[in-house]
Amino acid sequence: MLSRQVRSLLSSRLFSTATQDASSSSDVSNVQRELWRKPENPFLKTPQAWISSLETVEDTKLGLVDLHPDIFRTSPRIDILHRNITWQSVYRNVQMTKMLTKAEMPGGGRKPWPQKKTGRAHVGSIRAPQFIRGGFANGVRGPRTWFYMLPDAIRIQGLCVALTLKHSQDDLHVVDNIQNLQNGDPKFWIDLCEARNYGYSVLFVDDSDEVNGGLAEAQQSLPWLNVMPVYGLNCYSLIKYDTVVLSRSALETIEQRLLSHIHRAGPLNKKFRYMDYKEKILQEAEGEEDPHMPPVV
Amino acid sequence: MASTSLSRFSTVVRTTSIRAFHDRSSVPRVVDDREKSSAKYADAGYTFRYHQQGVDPLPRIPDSKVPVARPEYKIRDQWSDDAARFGQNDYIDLLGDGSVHPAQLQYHTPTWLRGFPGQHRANELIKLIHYRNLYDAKLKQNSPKRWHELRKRIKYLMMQHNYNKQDEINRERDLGLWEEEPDYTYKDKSRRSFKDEIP
Repeated sequence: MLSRQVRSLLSSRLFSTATQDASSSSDVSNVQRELWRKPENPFLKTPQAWISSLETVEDTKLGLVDLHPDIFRTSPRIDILHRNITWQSVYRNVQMTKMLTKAEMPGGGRKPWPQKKTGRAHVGSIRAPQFIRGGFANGVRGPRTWFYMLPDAIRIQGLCVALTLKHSQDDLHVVDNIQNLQNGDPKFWIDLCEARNYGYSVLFVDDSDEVNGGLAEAQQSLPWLNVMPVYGLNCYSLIKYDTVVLSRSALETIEQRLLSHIHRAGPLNKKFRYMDYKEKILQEAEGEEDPHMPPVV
Repeated sequence: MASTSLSRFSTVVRTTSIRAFHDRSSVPRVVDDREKSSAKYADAGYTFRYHQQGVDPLPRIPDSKVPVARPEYKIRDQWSDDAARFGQNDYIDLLGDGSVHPAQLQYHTPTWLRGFPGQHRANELIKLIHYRNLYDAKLKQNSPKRWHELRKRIKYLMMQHNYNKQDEINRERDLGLWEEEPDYTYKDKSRRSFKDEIP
């Protein structure tokens, strides 16, 4: 922990020198970027990130890039982030247990002993719930799901909050390119993450859903280093990984997608309705259905 | 020895309040022995060990070789392939091109429950009716016993909800399973629709 802090101090010093170098040599060609629907707030500072390259172990800065304030500088609503992460961990849960009721257990049709004059309890069936090996009253019933969808507005805001937190904690990095890197040696990538103070786990995000080259090879052998496409980005992973590295094209796509949703015409809190998706889901599942037997509940 | 002296000491000291089991009956009960009405059980044999760390060992049969039944110890790998990618496509409808929805990707769920509201929203009755609507013909043809059981369960739940759970019936609104009609009998007139009869 201490070593990490010291290293971060060192890197911040390097960072400042790099800033001076970059500003003096005027290598920074892409500082300015046209940000779509940038808020007209004079007090709002445009967040920025360095663009670096993944070809060398050392962090060589290639330039600065402006980030959209609506996405990378929102108010850090931890509660909304929490709602998102809770939803992500809950909504896919399925419980397949089914406790049989009195009616569903075999037997138990006969009255075990006469109603009166035996000194025993008045019972009508050996499957009554008070019996051992009887049926269950109020048991767990059948495939149970916890599926629900959060409103779009909450999910979009959750993503923005997660990105903002990552950026403000210096855990969000932008690189020029992820595809077709030269070096696929795991040692190289361990050194790289060590030298740049990336922390334990790193998530690379790219525009396309296929990765080739060095990163793909390294990702095979290092379980804490993973690559995700832009559409796979989510709050849980953003928080789970210590560092998130976006490629330049991924940054563009994320901003474009999120902003188009923020500014879209329809309502953002539209309810998810099963009947809208029912036909599609059942049609896709036709291959899994048995032609004769219904699924076992 | 120490415990007996302690208990003796405590009986001497405890004059103001005797910590006893919760007893909400304020009415004196008829008892066969008048001592019983005042002598309440205050000790169930459990003492809270404030200053003793750890867990008491359970009583064991000495020299027994039978291992204690307990769940198998599992090491969960946080960076296994599944765990490292947990939640990967949960935002695919927003970040993707809009053709796929996460409800379609729940391949671990039975097909008829993918995207169906969970049981905290749609109760067991609604779930079973949905199942019946999809598989009624197949059930009747190929598995008549299960069809019969399903009908019995639905009938039972119908009665349960209509007689005992009437306060929960309006939770079946807004489930997204069928088109919602406005509630014409709702008392708040501002929420009533233009279709209302205006006298």
